[in-house]
Amino acid sequence: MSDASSLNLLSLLPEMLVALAGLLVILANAVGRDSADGAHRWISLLGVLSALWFTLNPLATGAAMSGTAVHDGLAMAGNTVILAVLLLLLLGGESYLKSRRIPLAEYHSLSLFAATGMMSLVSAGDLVTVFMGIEVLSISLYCMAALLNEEEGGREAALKYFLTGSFASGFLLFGMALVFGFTGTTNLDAIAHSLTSLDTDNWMLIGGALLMLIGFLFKVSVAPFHNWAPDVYDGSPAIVTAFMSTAAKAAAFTGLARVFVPALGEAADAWIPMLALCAALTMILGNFSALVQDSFKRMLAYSGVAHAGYLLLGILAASSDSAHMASVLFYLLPYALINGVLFLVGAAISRQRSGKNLLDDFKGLAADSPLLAILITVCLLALAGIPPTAGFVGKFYLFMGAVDAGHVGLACLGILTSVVSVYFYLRVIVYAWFHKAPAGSAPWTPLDGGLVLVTGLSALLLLVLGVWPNLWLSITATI
Amino acid sequence: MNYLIVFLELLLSMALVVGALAFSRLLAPRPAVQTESRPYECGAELVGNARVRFHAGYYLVALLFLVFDVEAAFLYPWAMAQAQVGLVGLIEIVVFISILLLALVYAWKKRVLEWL
Amino acid sequence: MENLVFILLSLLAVLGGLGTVSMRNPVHSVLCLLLTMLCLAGHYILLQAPFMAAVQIIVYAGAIIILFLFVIVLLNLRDDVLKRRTLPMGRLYYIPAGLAVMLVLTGLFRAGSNWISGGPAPEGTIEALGMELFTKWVYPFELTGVLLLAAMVGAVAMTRRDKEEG
Repeated sequence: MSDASSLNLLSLLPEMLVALAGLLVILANAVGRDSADGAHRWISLLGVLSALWFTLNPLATGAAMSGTAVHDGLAMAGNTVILAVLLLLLLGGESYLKSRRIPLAEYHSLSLFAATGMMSLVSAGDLVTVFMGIEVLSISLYCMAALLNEEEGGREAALKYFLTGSFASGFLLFGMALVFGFTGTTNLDAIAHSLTSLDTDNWMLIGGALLMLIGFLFKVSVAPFHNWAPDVYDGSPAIVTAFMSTAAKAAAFTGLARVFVPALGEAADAWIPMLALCAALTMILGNFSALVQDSFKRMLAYSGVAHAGYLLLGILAASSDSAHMASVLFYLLPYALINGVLFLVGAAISRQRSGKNLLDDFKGLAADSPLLAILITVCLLALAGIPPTAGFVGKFYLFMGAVDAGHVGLACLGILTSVVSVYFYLRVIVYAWFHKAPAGSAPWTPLDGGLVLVTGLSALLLLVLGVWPNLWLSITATI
Repeated sequence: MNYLIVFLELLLSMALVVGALAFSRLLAPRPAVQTESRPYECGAELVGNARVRFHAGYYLVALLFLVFDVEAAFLYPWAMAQAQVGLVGLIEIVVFISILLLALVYAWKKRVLEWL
Repeated sequence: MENLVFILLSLLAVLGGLGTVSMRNPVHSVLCLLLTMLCLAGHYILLQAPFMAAVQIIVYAGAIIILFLFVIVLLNLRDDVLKRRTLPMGRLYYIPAGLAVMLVLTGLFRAGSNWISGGPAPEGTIEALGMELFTKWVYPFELTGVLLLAAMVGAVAMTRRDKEEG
């Protein structure tokens, strides 16, 4: 059992590299001089880049660590999204970190540990690994949400996040215990296998599946379990919000897909009605709440809730035909990139004006910096799902999948609520291009070059993926 | 296994605590007037209490204790099974200990162990 | 006899849990939690997992309860602080929690006695546990290390900034 072949350590290389980078950051901080702040960034960058390389060019794949980890296409796509976000924040977030005096070593190591948790969740082969992954990523994110305390609300956000998060973990764990009680195993493959021979019309199994689903829906902020998201996203440092609303959500969605579609797929009748209901509620509540927000961060938070609803459509489609999993994975990358860019750039723009992340801060942006206005426009159009961006392609696949799986009503609801969402995305664009900056606002100072470059490249990638979706689809479809 | 003896020990230790409290209640001298137990029997009226709020840094010591408590709990099964798990098990436990050791080094450098 | 002990322990554990959430004084809450933890340790013994029982007492009833008490006693909350301690929107969470409890209870009653179809419980000896832990479960085990380190770093980061402010 303990021989090297069943461990298959090489397939875990990306996770190990990221974790090692986190450990090295701590070590460098503990033994190095205080002035060696740049080291944290370089270590993180090296770790993330090498992990990304070995994710896209794996030395080994398949089950690892006696089946507690599985490196398949799902893991590869999920890891890529997580590492891409991490890379974006590492390259573009330096000026934000410096300006808010966030402790660098702690920020970098915690984000690497959170990424370790996310990656092990994405490649989990066992319910125990799923839970450990979620806990590692959650604990790290709770602490990261509290890193900023010069502003009121930072600690409140962290506390709210912690309370809801641990509440959700309780549901998740209880559900896992019931599923374990019913099937006698925690291995995802073995669960799927045992369910083919067991009577799935059992209340223990259904209860377990639904409790786990509630836990996951909390983590991905799906209505009616989404109440925490706007407050937490609003109160946390923008760079942490950018991380948790993208990478953590992508990881939780991939984990959800992994647990429910292959493992509990036989019991789909139990959880599909609830998932469909939540998806409908999420799309309606998320989009209509976003309409009335004055704060850019809160608007994006509600738009994130709405997008969780769209992604649930993909999971629903995948439960009837697993080929549709590719559409969920496809959309995760543009979604993560857009939100990462918008939170980062939005914070930088707002700092020049009111500093409170208001929508009004975008007024007159085109006159001050046409480049940034174009960037914001591309990202918001992609979020609204307007061609030729990757957002359009992603939404198209999601809705088509829902239609294929017979959820025509939900797909229609998705399209209708997307139309509603165009209003609040367009409002920012109209502010940027056709409004004048409020009188008495300070003269514009150009943003940090690195930030503009890396976010610009991300926006370009959105356009490229919109025109040639196969670049990324070919990776996500290898499951 | 027979847990009766464990149960008896539990009872015995409970009896010890209850007994100690009861004895001190019986034997301790009790002031006839309530004011006698105050720090000052005359003069200014007492406002609030003398206890102050402690700094959050002290909790870290308790947290550090928790971390190494968990480590010890994991070390025990390793020690019992180390003949079977061999070198691989040794490497695994060393990795685990090193990670936690890093937590100690970090806390040390951040002056968590210093008394404020 | 075993059933009697089980019922007694379960009742005490539930009572402790109810006390934890309903006591006004946080120290009493923690003591109720301690009762629950000890009862759970008793359950582990009933399940023939003495090591788990010992860990439950050492780590949970010992270290974690001590940590809670440490925080609560040192925080030195006054009565006026304790009165206004409801979380905004906190009531909302009762809804899913209540639904979940209802779900499980219905399930238990519907399923009757033979709902566990899993294999027999693994051996509870410490050697067996060590073997399992260091062969099959290495990966989650090492993740535990990362989890503890992340928690430590986060806690230090949160309190250290207070220190600098004075």
